[in-house]
Amino acid sequence: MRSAVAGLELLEPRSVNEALRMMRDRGPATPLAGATDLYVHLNSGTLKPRRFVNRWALDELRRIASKRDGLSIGALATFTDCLRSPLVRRRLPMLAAAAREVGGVQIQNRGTLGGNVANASPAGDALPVLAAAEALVVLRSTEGERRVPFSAFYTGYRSTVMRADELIVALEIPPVAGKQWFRKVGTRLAQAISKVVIAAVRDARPRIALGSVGPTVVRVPRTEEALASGASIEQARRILEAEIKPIDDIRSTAAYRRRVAGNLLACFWKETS
Amino acid sequence: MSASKPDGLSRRDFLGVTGALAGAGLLAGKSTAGDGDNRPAAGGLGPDPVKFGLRVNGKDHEVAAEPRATLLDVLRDSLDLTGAKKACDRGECGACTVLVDGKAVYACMMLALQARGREIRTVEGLAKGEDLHAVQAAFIEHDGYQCGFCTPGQVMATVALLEKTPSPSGDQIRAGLCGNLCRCAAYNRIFDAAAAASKAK
Amino acid sequence: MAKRTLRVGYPGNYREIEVDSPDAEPAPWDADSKLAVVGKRSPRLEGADKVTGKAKYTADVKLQGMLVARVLRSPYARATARSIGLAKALKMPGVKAAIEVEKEARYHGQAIAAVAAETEAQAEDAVAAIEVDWAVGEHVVDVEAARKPNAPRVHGGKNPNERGGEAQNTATEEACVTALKKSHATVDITFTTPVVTHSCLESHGSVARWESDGSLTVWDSTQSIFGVRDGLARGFQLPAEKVRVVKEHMGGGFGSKLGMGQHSMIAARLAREAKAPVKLMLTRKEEHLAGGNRPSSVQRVRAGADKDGKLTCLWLQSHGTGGINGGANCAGPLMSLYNCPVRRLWHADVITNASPAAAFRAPGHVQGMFALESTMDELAGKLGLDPIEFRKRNDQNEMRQAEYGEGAKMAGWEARAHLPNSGGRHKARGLGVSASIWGGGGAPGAQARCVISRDGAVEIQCGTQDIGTGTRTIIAMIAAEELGLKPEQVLVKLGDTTLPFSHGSGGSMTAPSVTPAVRAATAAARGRVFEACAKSLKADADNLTAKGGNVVAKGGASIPWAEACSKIAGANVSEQATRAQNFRGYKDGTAGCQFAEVEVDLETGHVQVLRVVAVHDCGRVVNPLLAESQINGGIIQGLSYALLEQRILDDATGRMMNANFSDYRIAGPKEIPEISVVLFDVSNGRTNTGVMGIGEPPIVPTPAAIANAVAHAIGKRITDLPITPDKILAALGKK
Repeated sequence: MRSAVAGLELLEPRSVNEALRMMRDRGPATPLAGATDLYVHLNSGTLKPRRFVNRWALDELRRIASKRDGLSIGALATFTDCLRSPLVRRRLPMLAAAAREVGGVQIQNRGTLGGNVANASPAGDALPVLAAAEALVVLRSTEGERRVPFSAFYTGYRSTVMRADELIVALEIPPVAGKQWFRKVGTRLAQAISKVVIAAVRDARPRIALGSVGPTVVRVPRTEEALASGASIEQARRILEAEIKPIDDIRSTAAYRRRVAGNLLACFWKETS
Repeated sequence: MSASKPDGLSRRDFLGVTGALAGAGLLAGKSTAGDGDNRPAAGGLGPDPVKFGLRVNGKDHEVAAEPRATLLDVLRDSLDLTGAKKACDRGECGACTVLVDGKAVYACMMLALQARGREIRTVEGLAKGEDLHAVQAAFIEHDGYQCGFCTPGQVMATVALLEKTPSPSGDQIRAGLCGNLCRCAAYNRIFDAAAAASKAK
Repeated sequence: MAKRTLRVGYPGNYREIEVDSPDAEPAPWDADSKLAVVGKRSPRLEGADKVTGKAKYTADVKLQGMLVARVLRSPYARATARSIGLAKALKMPGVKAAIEVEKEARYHGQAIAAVAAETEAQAEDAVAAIEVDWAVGEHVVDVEAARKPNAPRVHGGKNPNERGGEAQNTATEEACVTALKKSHATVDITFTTPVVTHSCLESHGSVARWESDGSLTVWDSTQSIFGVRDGLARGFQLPAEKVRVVKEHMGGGFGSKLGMGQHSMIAARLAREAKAPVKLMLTRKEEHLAGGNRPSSVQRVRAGADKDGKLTCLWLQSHGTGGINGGANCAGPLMSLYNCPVRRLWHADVITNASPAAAFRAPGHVQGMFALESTMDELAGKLGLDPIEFRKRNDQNEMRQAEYGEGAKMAGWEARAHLPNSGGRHKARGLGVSASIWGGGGAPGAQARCVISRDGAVEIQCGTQDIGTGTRTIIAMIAAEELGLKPEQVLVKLGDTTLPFSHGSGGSMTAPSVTPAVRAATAAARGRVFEACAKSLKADADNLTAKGGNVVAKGGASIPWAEACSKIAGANVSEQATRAQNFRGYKDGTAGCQFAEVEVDLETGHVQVLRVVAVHDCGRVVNPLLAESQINGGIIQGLSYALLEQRILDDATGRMMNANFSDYRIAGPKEIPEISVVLFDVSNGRTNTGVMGIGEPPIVPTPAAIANAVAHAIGKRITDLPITPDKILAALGKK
């Protein structure tokens, strides 16, 4: 219980539509689900909002379903839901792998995929997966629904195209052809924030996304192109190291991140050949 | 290490407001989504204390708390269930672990209001009278603790693990308990206790 | 004093010595003693309380009308509060008291003011309403910057930040230079270690209640109830008897809870002000900011050895910071572990605008051993000697010599050159070793009382504290041994200053200080029982023994314990004893050694410790289950120190940037190696129990053993702790 939330007000919608009306009429109101990110902000006293929409109970947003050959994952699907889902494990194994690396079990049980996307941390464990899979973010407001390609969702460090009256309701994943690969290098083996996180798909058109190496999760089109056009992994690696923009911070150094990103790229290429 | 630049504290470390708020301002307009119900939204709860029910260890309780109250605070302060501990208060150590609908959660980062209508289990509810739960007995036999402060959380995380995975491998035990820290570092013995409890049933 | 002959030493190497022991005490146990309870694996007596959540910690204490306190802490590393406005806070809902604590802030996190309110949330809200008019001063947190002549003076005036600087040994600089010059092999390496925080899961905290008679009762998460009592008595100018300190269970004590903390005074002041009991538990952030820490070190070591692998010179120039306090000296291991003809050790404490250091499990030794044992491996390499062989040639401790043998066998030292490797050319394995050294012999003065009631109930009263080491259980075992009972038949009362005095639980002192007093008191009370029941057994009291739940006469006649006790005249017998001086005995310190096997991921730089083999001695082991737990804990804290932990201060603001458990990382379940413990059995003849402490020795060698294993694995030495992946990759990058 922190002073930062003195005066906290909780809105309690019984349906998604009621939640949307609340956000329209009583906004600004921050959606709150598993609270695994929000609570860190609360605790450090950096959270300014006072009004929250509790959507933890909106089970309609927890569904993981087949969508043609792809997937539709409700925004409230927890990481535990993701890693236990046979559909996810079959069609998007790299998401199951990422979910397993999120926090500890307690965080996996409460943290949601939608929350990971909305929190917009460059270190979000599932975000490279969604970027590599070219997911669509399904946003809904009382006005209706729109689908934003993942690559266009983030506009900068911790900022997104989402409006204050919009909720993320689902992530839609088109069918992913090719071998999927995921690796997180964290500051500790579990319960850790990533220093480098990478998700990649080995296909005629390789797709590679990294977290913690820039202000947002990034795709690396130049590296992807090089690999697609038959460059050696050593060449691709040099391109990648130039393409990403990591920084020094309290968790690691830019030099380390650059080098490990290159090493992981080589691992990806070798292990999926 | 000490960072030398004034901005050595990186932009990624001190976190701003969530992305959910970062978009444009409030837009008015008609609902076209779903049920066609366009009534203005109802009022919210708080910030003053609200009364609500919680079901803990099979018993229903009525509590009054501010909406900001975490499940941990309500368990400890209102219901006097002090087994779950507050050690980091931000979901990093696991000392507050309880089960909600059978799943291990950090009670310090769940609003008590979010636990309404759910089955909450705490360490106090494990033993049947004098008969300890197999996990509890195994912790004692294997010395799965030292100071004991993290123990209620470790026990509950182990219970959750074994209910889902009755015969875990060594790796599964570590993965299942990786959200729980022990500064005295009784880890090896906690793993032994978990393995022994899985066989005890 | 009685002269007694004892067999001391260790298996394969015993000898007889004569010691003087107090007449009133039972004959000291030695290598020939056959004990029924002591030495057995015995689960903790308070286990059920700990696993059911019944165990009450200070954090769980709830009193009638109790308020909750919160502290306002300085956001600046150096600032003066021109004024501290409490009026607004006092008007906040639920607030009952607010006090000023300190106007001069010399580190980020220093307590400035405090409030007590009906709820924690109200107290937090009220703290935010305190108005401070700050005059921000110049700070310095970087240890090298603080040494510069023009650096801001942390304690003001002309006091230099750098203190000490005296050489601690007799050899002159010239003698060192000459010795090094003549050496066959020399090294000159600078090692650095970070500041780390204790990170006890239960933070520092107190609950204070003033009684109607003007006395003060305090529940405290402390390693030293009498220390807190005396501190509070001084602070409030009360006679010590007017202060009672209680600690039933406490959530982690690694040195930072050894004296009275400021929080105890704050809680008691607020309680007096509010006329209500007050609870103050520090938050995790406060714990990192102001809960104590292990000082940093920069250690330049120059060392030499001759052709025969004998050390010729050990030279150390070190400095480090304990924040606004000193206490960074870490020369202990260099001073005492090895034979060396020429030794010169120089140390300076550097005062910085950072929170004060506190004792932390084997103070100084962890840092010092990392430097010394890394140096030994480098020298061994230059000499072409096996690292253990090189150590043995310079180590006169016969226990450790034997321990190396046992450990090497278990760790597979012979096959060191051919370690298996799971990851092909992407992984590298290494095996490293380090010695340990510590005291742990205990101190005189601890008291215990044994009360045996007519119904046979046995109670041991001892004002020590069980900080998670198992003190309660081993006290019961000692008493049960004397009385022929089971440990669970002995009720142990501890953690209360109304009980007979005992020291703080630090320095691995508790078991060796307390067990002799418990044994002596129990033996004396047993003598009274024997006197009472001798007639019923038609025997002389001197010819009675207590075993298997009976009192047995020499001829074979016996009666059950409870029946024997029923002969006591009056309600009970009660005997108190005070722990005597150590006898001369066999050895006054503990030795020990550890082996660490690591696997380094050459692509990510991650170091996984696969296995640690730990060989430790601690005199007579009362309960191997608990002793092993202490060793496991020391090793893992050592691992955490070697690979993960460091406090990060921002130079510009002087603030701690990782005051949480995400960015201040302690080892979790996935970092944990397989641990094999060998308890090296030693009969030391220093007290009537021969018990020594084992709290600290196991953390001393771990970081050095890991660092040596990493160097063995990758062929490069990391001299800067923690050994993080970026340092590994940077070292590998320099081909």
